[in-house]
Amino acid sequence: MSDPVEAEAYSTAEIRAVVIRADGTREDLGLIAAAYPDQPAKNLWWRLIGKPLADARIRRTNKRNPLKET
Amino acid sequence: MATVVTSKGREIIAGRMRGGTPTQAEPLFVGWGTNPATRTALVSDVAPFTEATEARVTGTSSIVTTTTTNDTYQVVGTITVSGAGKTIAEVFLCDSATKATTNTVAAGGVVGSGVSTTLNTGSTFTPGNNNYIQIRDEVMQVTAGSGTTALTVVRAQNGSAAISTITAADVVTPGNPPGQTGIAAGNLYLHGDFTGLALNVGDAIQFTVQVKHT
Repeated sequence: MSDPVEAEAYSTAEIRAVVIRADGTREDLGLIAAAYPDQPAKNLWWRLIGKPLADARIRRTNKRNPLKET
Repeated sequence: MATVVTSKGREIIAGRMRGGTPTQAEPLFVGWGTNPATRTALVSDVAPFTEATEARVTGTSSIVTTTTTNDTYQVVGTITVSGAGKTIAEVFLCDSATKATTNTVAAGGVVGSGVSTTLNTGSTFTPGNNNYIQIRDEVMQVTAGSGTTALTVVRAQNGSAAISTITAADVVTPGNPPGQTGIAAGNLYLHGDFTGLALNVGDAIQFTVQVKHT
């Protein structure tokens, strides 16, 4: 069943992120958020494959670079 | 997790189309937020869930190709953490670098209620009567009490649903739904949420946002 939010949306949108650490190190996280309301197959790909992979990339970088206590 | 052009965003698009010199400003300002309640962006959103303290940045816009030549609007912008480390879990595009003045929910009223029409705030709040606000993913219209700590609101505006999960200390952010202009800096074009990214002071994210209207 399609997500009601996505069913109402009408624009394809993608958000990519490159994290730039304070020491200058760059981490390209690639696609971190997306919506393909007019492409059911691609939307399904994002739900089942793209998003879990994005989440895994974010978790890995968070593990390598945890928030420092202040 | 979602990335949406909001209903206000559709008005922005229409405004950019009309006339040789459109008065609608380009929505290339990039902002981010913490989204602590891990909400999902909705087309009814008029404001970010919890905008972070860093200033919005002026992105670099361009037209790129996704499917057919020059079919996609792209904005690239980089925001750097200042003050204190934080977890960033939302990004948005809007048509102004100016932030709206936010407040926080205080006890009673809408807290834990999907029907109360009283919004108590942590301090004097002046969004202006008949203007709109957002708490979590519910949009409300303020009908009385602007300038006090006890505002009267109409629930579930702009296609949003009344929620009973509002808690004290939730952020209240003014914003404009389609047809409204009462809030300066209140025009949200795109809103996206994602799994939180932990960032320390001096860390930054370069966002590349692409939108292809269909």
